This record gives sequence, structure tokens and C-alpha cells, in this order.
Amino acid sequence: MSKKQSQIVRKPSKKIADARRVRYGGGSMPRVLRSADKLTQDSRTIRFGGGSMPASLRK
Amino acid sequence: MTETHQPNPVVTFYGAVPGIRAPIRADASGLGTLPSRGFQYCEALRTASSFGWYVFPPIDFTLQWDGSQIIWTYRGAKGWYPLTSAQFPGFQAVFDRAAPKRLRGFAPPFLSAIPEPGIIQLWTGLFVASAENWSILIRPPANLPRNLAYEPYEGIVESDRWFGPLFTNIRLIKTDVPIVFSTEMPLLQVQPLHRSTYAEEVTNRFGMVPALADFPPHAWERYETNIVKPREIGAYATEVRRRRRSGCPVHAG
Repeated sequence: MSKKQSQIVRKPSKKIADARRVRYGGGSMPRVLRSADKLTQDSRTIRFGGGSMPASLRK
Repeated sequence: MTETHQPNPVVTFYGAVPGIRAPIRADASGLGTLPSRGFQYCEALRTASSFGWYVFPPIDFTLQWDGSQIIWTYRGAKGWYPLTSAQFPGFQAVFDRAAPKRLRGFAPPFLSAIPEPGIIQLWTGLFVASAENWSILIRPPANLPRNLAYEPYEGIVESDRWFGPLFTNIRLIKTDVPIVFSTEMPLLQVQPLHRSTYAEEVTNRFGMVPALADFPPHAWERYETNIVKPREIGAYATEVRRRRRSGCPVHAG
């Protein structure tokens, strides 16, 4: 490796250090996810278009 | 205005979820979003925009998709919930109170995640029926700016023979951002289609004149009349509106 190439890789600079307080994508997920809601509980008795599903997926 | 006698409406919506916004006639101005020149002079744009009825989401709700799992919340909810299949809030009890005893427990779901990634089924809170030989095309609103985060599929239902919930399939596009559905904005446009318009006999064949040299004289004459000769601005729109006022082409005579 030449001397010139070895100078390209540097230690992290304080100028671009990030505290990771802001995240894209997954960072916008709500922090609290509830598991059950009695008001919207569905027994899955009725399904739309169920006839078009592969037979193996029908219950 | 001349009105043609029409005993029954071609399409009838049945409200099932209490208090939801009723469908409205689709708007020629695209709810005011169309350029004013287009609204004033382009009858093609106006006709397509106002063909059918707007249908709205039954409640304000929000989805978020991470590429695998969908979570959702709704106006009045205590938080976010993973979406598998959900009833409209409190609807199961409402349905069971109104439905015949044998149908209790069979309320249609409001939102369902299906096995295909990012695709949901959404019930509008309405049932729908149509007159004999009339189907409905369920599609995104015509000429309204779309939300780039999702895309409703289009479907044609023989709603004269099949009475049931008016639902649609929606493909979520954006990941990791809240996708808001509001009762203030139309979600779908329902358009009546006479079954003859999309019959196999109609759609399996079409005419084709392969080159200018093959244009018959009447084609050149019509081109001259419609395009080449000086005409007043909006002449096409004026003629279409005059013909429309003379009566319904389906029910006339």
C-alpha cells in the first residue's frame, strides 16, 4: 500500500460525529405498540375475496 | 333541463357503520384542484372527473408499514396496534344488535392485512347494490392528486348479482412513515358500468386503420371539422353539454 493511499482512511472526526439521536426509517416507529384493542378485535370469521386464496392458506 | 324518467337509481349505497360520511357525486372540478382552464374548457376532463361518486374512509386512521409488518391507529385509539384483522371500532356490537340472529358474529372486518406484503383490504363501511346488468368500477378518484404513499387497486364488481360490503385492496408504497387516511378526502371513486361496455365481445376486438394513406374520406372530413376549421373556444364542451341536456342515452326512448 502506498503512502498516499494510507492517508485516505482517517479516524472519525469530531466534525462528523453523530449521537444517533435522529434516525431515518425505523426511527419514526411509535415507541409504544399495544397488543390488543377490544374495540377493533376481529374474529376473522369474514374475509373478503377469500375464495381467491390458495387452498393451502384457507382455513 | 330535460330529465329522463328513471324509476330506480342505478347504484344504491347502504350505510352500515353509523355516522359515516355518505358518498357524494364526483366533482367536475376535482374538488377545486383542477386548473381553471381545464375546468372551464376541457369537457373530457370534467366528464371523467365527475363520473360516479366519491367514497370516503369511514374514520380517520393511520397506517405504517416497515416492509414487513403493518401497524395502525385510529382517531380515538389509545395507541398503535399491529394490524392483522380489525373491526371498525365498536362495530361488532352494532352489527350484532341489528343483524338477524343467525348472522350475529359475522360483521365484516374494517382493515385486514393479507399475506402479500404491504397490501391491505379496507372496508368503506358501506354495502352496495346496483340495477340489473349494471356493475361498478371501484377505483382511485379520477384527476384528484394522489397520496404517493399508497395506491388503491381497481376492481369491477357485478353488484347487481353480488350484494356485499364495498371494500378495496390497497398497496402501501412508502415504508416507515405514517400514512394518513382522512374522512375529509375521497378514498375511492365508484363508477357505474353497464355490463355491455366491458363484455368480452366488445373488448376482444377493435378496429385499426394502419396508415394515413388508408384514412377514408369521412375521417379527413371529421378531422377538418374538429381540428382544422376555426372554432370557438370550448365548442366541443358546448356541444357535449347540449347533447347531455337532451336526455340520458341509456334510458331515452
